[in-house]
Amino acid sequence: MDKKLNKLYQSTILEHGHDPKNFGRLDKYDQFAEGFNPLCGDKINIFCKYNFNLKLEITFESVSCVICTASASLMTTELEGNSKDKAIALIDEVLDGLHCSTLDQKTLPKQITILDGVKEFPSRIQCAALPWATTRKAITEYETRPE
Amino acid sequence: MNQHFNLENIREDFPILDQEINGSPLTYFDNAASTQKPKAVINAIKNYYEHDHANVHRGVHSLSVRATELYEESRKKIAQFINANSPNEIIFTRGTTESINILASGLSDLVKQGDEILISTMEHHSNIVPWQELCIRTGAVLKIIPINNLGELQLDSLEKLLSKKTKIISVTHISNTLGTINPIKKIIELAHLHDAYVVIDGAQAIAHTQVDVQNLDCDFYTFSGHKLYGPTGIGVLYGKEDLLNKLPPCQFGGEMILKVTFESTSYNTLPYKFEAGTPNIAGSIGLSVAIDYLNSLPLNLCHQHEMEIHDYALDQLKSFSNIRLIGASQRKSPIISFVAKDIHPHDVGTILNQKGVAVRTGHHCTMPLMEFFNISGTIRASFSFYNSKNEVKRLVDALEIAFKMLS
Repeated sequence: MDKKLNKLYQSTILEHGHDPKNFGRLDKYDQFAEGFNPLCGDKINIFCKYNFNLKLEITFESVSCVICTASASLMTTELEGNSKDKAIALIDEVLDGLHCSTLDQKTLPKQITILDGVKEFPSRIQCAALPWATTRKAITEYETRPE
Repeated sequence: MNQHFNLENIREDFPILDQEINGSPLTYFDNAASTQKPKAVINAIKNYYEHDHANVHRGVHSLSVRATELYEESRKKIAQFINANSPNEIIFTRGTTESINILASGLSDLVKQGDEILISTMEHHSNIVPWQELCIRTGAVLKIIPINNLGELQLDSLEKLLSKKTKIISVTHISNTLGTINPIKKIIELAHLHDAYVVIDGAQAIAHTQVDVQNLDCDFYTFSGHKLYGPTGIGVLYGKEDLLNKLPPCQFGGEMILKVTFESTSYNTLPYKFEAGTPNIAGSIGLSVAIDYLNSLPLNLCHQHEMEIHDYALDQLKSFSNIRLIGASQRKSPIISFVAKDIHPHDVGTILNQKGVAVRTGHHCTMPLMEFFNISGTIRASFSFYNSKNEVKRLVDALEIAFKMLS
C-alpha cells in the first residue's frame, strides 16, 4: 500500500476519525464558533467553557471527513484543561505548522504531529486546519456565541 | 464523416490522457467539471498566437483584420452548432456563470416587486445566486421547482407554480450533480404559455446532447467552452435577437459603444453591445476548433459510447453494498454521483487520486441539492467519449482499496 496514504490514514487518525473523543455539545458553554469548509462542505461546531478562566472544557460536533474529525478529536484532547493563553499559543503553532512550515515534534505533542501527513495532500490541509481555526474563533471572538 | 467510433484513435487526440498520476495510469472521470482538450484545439491556440494575433475590430492592419475574421468566424461556427438564427445571437462571455449573470442583471429591468422567478432544487450555485441578487434588487420572489427522490423535476409542481407573476424560469438542461436530463422543451412550452422568459443553463448538456435552440424555442441558452473540449475563459450567451436587443448591457467600455461624448453614449448593436473590452480572441478560436473537432467525429456514436461507460459503471457500483446512488432518473447523461456508508467523499477522493483516478468529491456547487438528499457531498464520476471500460475497472479497484482502508 501507498506510503503517503498510510502516513495520512494511520491508525491513530482512523481511530480518532471513526470514534472521536469529546464529540457532542457541552451542556453549558460560554464560547462557540461554527467552521465551514466551502470547498468540500465540511461543517464543525466548537463548544468551549472556561472554569474561572483557567481550565478549558471543549467539545465539538461535525459533519466532516476522517482527517477533519480526527484533527478535532486530537485537538480537544490536547486543549482541554489548558489556560486560554496556552490554548491560543498551541492553536497558533499548529495552524502555522499546517499552513506555513511543519508540525514540530520537538515542541508539539507527538499525537498532534501525525497531522503533518496531510502535507503530501495539499487539498486536505484545510481539513486538518478547520477545527483549530474554528476553535481560535470560538476562544477569541466571544461575541459569536449563539442564542 | 467517419461513422466508426475508434476509442484508441480518439484517445490519441488527447495528449493529456497519456500520463501517470502517482504511479498509475491517469483515469480522468472529472469531465463534468472540465473536459480535456484535443490536440487540434491546443495547436489552434498556439498557431493563433504565433501567426494571427492582434486586437480585433477597427484595426486597419492585416493582423487585426485576420484576428477579426477568425473571431467572427468562431461566432458563426457556434451559431451553426446550436442552430441559432443569426451570429448576432451569440455573445461571447467568460463562461456559463458570466452568461447567467449578464441575464440576471439585464432582465432586472423587466422585473418588478412581487414578480416571481422560478429555479429548481437541482441548480448549480451559478444559477441560484444571480437570481437571488436580482430578487434583492427588485423585490421579486424566488420560487423553487421541487424534485422527487430520483432527482427529477416535478413538472406538475411547476405547472402549479406558474402564474401571471412568473417572469423568468431558469433551469439547468442537465444536472451537474445528478446527471438528470430535464424536459426543457416542455418547460419552455409551459413557460411561454405564461409569457415567462426561459434561461437554460446548458453547461453540462452542450457536451452530451445536440442542442437546437430554435427547435427548443428557448429564449436564452448558456454554456462554457471548457466543458465542450474547448479552452477555459470562453463561454456563450445565446439569446433571441429581439430579446437581446431589449436588454441593457451590464458592462461598459470600449467595443460596446457607437458614439461617446462626455454628455452621453450610444451603444453598439448586437452582439457587441454585450462585449465590452478586448474579448478572449484565442478562446473563441479554440472553441470554434473544438466544434470542428467534434463535428469530425461520429457524435451520436460518441454519446452512445459515453452512456455505455455510464451504464457499465453503474452496474459495477451496484455490486458495492455500502454505496448509495444519488440521482436515478430514467433520462440521464453520463454522470454518476454516489455516497458510501459512513465514509466521507473527501477521504475516498484522496485515495482514488493516489491510484490515478480523478473524480470530484464534495457538494459540486449544489448545496441546496445536498440538503435535499440530506448529505454533505457526493463522489462524482463523470464520463466522456474518451473514457473506457478498463478505466471503470480501475475506479472499482481503487474504491475497494479506499473502502478497505477507511472502514
